[in-house]
Amino acid sequence: MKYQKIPIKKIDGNVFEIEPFGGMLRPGRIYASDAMLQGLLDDDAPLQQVINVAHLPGIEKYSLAMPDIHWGYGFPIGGVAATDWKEGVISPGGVGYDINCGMRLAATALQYDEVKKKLDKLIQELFKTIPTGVGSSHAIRKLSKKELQRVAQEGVNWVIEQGFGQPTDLEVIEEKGKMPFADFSVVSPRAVERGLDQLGTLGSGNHFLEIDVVDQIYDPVAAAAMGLFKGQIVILIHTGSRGFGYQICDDYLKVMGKAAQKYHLHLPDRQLAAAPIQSPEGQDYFAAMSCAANFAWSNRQVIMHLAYQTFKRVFSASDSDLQFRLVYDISHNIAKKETHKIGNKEKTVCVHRKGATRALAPNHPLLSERYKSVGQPVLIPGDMGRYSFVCVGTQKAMEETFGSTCHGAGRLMSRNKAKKAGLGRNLIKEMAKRGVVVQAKGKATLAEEMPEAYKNVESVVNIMHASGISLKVARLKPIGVIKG
Amino acid sequence: MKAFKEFEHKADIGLEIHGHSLEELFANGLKGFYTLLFGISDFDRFENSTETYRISIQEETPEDLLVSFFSEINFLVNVKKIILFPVITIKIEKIAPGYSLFLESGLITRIPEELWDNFTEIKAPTYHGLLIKRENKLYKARVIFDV
Repeated sequence: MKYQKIPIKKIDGNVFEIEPFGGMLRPGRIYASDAMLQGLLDDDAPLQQVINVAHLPGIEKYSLAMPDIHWGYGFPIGGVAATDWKEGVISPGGVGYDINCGMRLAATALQYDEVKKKLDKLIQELFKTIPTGVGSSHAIRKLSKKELQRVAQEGVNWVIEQGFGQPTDLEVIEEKGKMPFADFSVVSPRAVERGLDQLGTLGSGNHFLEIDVVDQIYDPVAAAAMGLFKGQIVILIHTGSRGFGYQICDDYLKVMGKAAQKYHLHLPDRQLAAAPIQSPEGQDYFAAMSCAANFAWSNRQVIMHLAYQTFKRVFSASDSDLQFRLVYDISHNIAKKETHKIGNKEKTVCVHRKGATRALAPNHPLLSERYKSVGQPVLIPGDMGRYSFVCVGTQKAMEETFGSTCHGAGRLMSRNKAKKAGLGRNLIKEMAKRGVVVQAKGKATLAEEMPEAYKNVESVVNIMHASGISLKVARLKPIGVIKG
Repeated sequence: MKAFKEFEHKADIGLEIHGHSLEELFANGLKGFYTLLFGISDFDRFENSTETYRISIQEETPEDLLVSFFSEINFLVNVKKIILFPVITIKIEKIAPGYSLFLESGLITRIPEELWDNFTEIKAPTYHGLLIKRENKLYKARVIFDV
């Protein structure tokens, strides 16, 4: 297959390659079905962004795109690129405004039959307990600047010390909830102010806390390692670094815009602004971004703990009855210092994952003992009416995608179109008919986030499964959702 | 001339703004931005503080000035929980090098609950597709906000 505008060809069942042209330093590689690719060729802005990313100095192997690729700022959403740690650049556009936006899955011993009678009450209580963001009353008190510094530099360990969760949780959080290069001194006063009252808040837009039932098991061995079984009640949390991270991204886009000029980087898009990783600007961004990443893991930790307390209260359950525990927490917007095999050599690179999830293979040294034999859990949310998926990383992901896979469904309708489609409809009732209890702060959010506004995540997950990049373990069906 | 209108964007929100001068463009941009955040731009019925508030920003280009202006307003809403209303003065001047903005405004310091109920959280104004141009004596700007 060869298309006219963009020199793209199919190289495998679900893999397409853009041959380097113009200023591209590496090829582009897109994981997609034929139908998905046709959609991308009809509206080629995301593919153009794959091409743009291939211009980044120091990029290794490929500019990659996962099947949930769609237009983003700088990088496409679903974009992955690794740059040489010594000679390459780092770009805030490869991380996004919501630094360490990510997913967390917690399991219980409860089954659907035990929960269904109290589901309305549970969702009401969760909605009351977990603040959705600006204008909400706070579940935990506003942090002092010193406390925020500890969150930013020490990550989840510090919030566990404050009573939010168990030390064993750390083993099943990416990076154990702490990026080692975090330096609070390079975070602006403005970002600090924006972060002080946002720990333990969900936020609006596509962020959510969901109660799911494990609806299908594809891989019983991996599911058993994660403690998942059919009919089980689990909790899925999607949120990130809130205003703290948004402000850090905003601040450093300005810094990087100037740095790109200073270091004579010729980049095709201003939102792709970058600086050499080893430059003062690159080092400062990485240190500030790491602070936001630590905040985001801590945010999900606090929210999970609030959910745990709510479950205990609503079901009058003891810890042994509830067996509430963290399965995994993973980022899908981050830049990380990692080692990957490039050619015949192990090389240190900066892996940018923008709307993409780390997917480490079994026996990877960064995996906790619990998941050594099965691979790293990958959490891929869908819309609130259909399904989310739990998958695992593979050796093929390590070889082809710098240990990365997809992150979600991607929008089908614009926000305005979705709002228009939701006019005059009682979406809460419609969701209830589908067996999902929903509580949301704003009517507009509900319309923007209704299931038909999104693509079916299953088609995305299936591409990565068929490609052998991440393999399906379990399917989760939402029964209750809270949103900002 | 329509002061501002939303334009279609798949994942986020776009704002097109018009004005006969840069000052009017920024004043209309402020109204448009509040409309995105709260659904309204006229806060007459809400209690004002007796204080005034001043903003002073300098940037290299009018486009950068607009992004910094929206960043400032977003920060004031999210962190300081204040709305600048009514605007008393906006002055934009060409300086060497770049542009400066000075704004003086009345102030709503206690954003009422009913406004938070319809609040749309915006992460940041972005540089993507950002433009300010002058055509037929009318300024036009386009900004996309990450939601």
